[in-house]
Amino acid sequence: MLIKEEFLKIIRSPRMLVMLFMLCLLGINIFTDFTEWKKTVGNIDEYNEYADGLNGEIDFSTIKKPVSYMDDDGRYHFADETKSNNDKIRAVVQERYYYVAERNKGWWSSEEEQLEYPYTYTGIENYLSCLRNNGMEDSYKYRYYAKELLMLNQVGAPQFVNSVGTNELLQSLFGMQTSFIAICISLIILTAPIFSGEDANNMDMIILSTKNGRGKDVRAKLVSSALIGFLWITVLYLVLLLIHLLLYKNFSALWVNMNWIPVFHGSPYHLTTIQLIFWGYIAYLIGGLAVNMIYCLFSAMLKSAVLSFLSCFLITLLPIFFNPNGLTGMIAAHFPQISMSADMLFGSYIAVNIFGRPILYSITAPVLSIFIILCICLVIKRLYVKIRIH
Amino acid sequence: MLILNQLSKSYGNETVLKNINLEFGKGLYALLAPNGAGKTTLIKILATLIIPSSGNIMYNGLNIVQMCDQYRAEIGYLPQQVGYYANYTPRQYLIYLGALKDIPRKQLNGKVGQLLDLVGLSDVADKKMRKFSGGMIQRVGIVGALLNDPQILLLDEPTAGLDPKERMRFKNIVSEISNDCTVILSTHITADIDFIANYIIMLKDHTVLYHDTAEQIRSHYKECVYEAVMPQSRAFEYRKQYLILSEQYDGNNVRLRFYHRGIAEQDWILQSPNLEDIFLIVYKEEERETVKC
Repeated sequence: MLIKEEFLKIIRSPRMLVMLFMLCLLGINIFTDFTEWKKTVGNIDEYNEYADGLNGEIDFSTIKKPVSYMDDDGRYHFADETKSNNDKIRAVVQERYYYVAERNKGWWSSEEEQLEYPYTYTGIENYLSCLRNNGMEDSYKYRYYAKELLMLNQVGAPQFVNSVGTNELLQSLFGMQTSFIAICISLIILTAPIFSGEDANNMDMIILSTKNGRGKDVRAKLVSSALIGFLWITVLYLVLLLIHLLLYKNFSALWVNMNWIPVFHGSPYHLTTIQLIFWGYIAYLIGGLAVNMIYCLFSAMLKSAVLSFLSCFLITLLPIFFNPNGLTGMIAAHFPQISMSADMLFGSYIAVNIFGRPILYSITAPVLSIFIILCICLVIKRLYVKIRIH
Repeated sequence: MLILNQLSKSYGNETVLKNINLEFGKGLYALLAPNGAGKTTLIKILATLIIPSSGNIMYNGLNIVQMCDQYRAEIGYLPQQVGYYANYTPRQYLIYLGALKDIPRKQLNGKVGQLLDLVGLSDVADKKMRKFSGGMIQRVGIVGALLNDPQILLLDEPTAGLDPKERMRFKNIVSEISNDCTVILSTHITADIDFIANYIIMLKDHTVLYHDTAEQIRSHYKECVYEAVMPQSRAFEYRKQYLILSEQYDGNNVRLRFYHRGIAEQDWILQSPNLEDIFLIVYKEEERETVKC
């Protein structure tokens, strides 16, 4: 009953209106992008019909370098207004086809400069052969790249699939913008005042003088904060997913390997797009819960709701201004919020050295997040009452 | 029975309460002292919101620290500034408090309706509290404190900010409740407790000065309060010499009510002291002595 009441408290708060407003803005933004695409390129059904016909292995015999109509922001501009809609669609699809073919070729590239930091299939193969020749088969480096090669072998080179809408969907679902701005800011607004807001309402003393005010209510607040986080992430995720799928009507891309979608071309993970969408959602829930618990910790330790808001914003936004060295540095600076991004988890091969074995970041990040969640729950339970009672 | 043994509280070098020994049974106990005398600290200690520096509190023979949630289940607490959620209706607010107090939902619905009726808020039970007056919020607060049928009701300056009508209504409610439980009400307004308090506890110099019925406290000042009518020019002399309790101007004359221990002058009229007189005598005398020093 207490969990329900604490949950209702968040739902009834004016903060919820702010969240709904944000959700509407997001929906409008996707719709505007689609309308603009339609205006520039043409009818989506005609586009899908033509592009779906090219799905499958790339036919290199027909490839010619097309004229690019895409600007840096990924928007199309056709200077020649006399071009028919059909021609515009063909031009856009061919450009995408050419781009995938280039990535496919790059998969097998063995140019010498890639030997230092190999990332293509052939590059890694060559690098491993060098290590073997130098007798380094037992080194961590060898194990690291051998694992990557094995994964790439299972996945295969990227092929063409009609990815209109799906590419944008994956970008908006798993891009840093969504995880950092949309999810983190939403969680701050929802969670930051969960404990500290009671002081502003003069409710602290009343709550702490009741039978359940110290044990069960702290638990109820943590659970309801997690529930609202789950609910919010689910709603946001579903809104992004459904709007994209319903507007672009591109379902063929859901069933192919995720590395066929341009935004995930370099991924070594053997997952279909629909599986990625599922695991990406799970990553959001675990990472989001870890972030939520950090916000709860600030809220429980600080009496002022304003201070709690500011601290949560700072802890989220400050790492953006750091310029850490390399990928590992960036992950360390942004953890745990970065573990929400499936782009970081599944977009490329990242493994952590644990007792000389390369363990995938997509495994270590959720495990570490769960550890953070448990530790924070214990700290809040032990310290919350002590801080408020002298 | 609630017993306070040698209770003290200090913050660093500053002592707020020193060696407080008190016993509370059923009835209304008024904690009377000026602002800053430690009333709120004592109420908060009783509500387990402040940990005493030394001493202990026993409830029915058990230490309240060991009783923990079991003790908190027996108390109702109304703080000086009643906490509430402006976007909640009284019913929603009270159901939330009921959950905090572990009251089963079925029982809670009936209880909320019944108590809102008692404080005359049934007609606004489903209206947002955003637009409620201070008195209405206070009444919602008292319902919140009463939800769990507390054996000990702690009210910290409950009438602050209420208009006379609301104050009267509040006094009647509290007086009625005190028949069945221990009510400890802190205030510096003597009118709030006159005629309704069974016992009055006065704090001075961080400790208990009186813990008695109003009648017995009055008996300590039986022949000390006088009234005299005199020209305004003479009043200056009286102000210097005696502790003035009230002044009433009537043309060129002034009627002075004052405190004096010793032989009375012929034209003075002996008065029966009220609680306000005693409050002023106890706490103003202290001020006068400080000024003289």
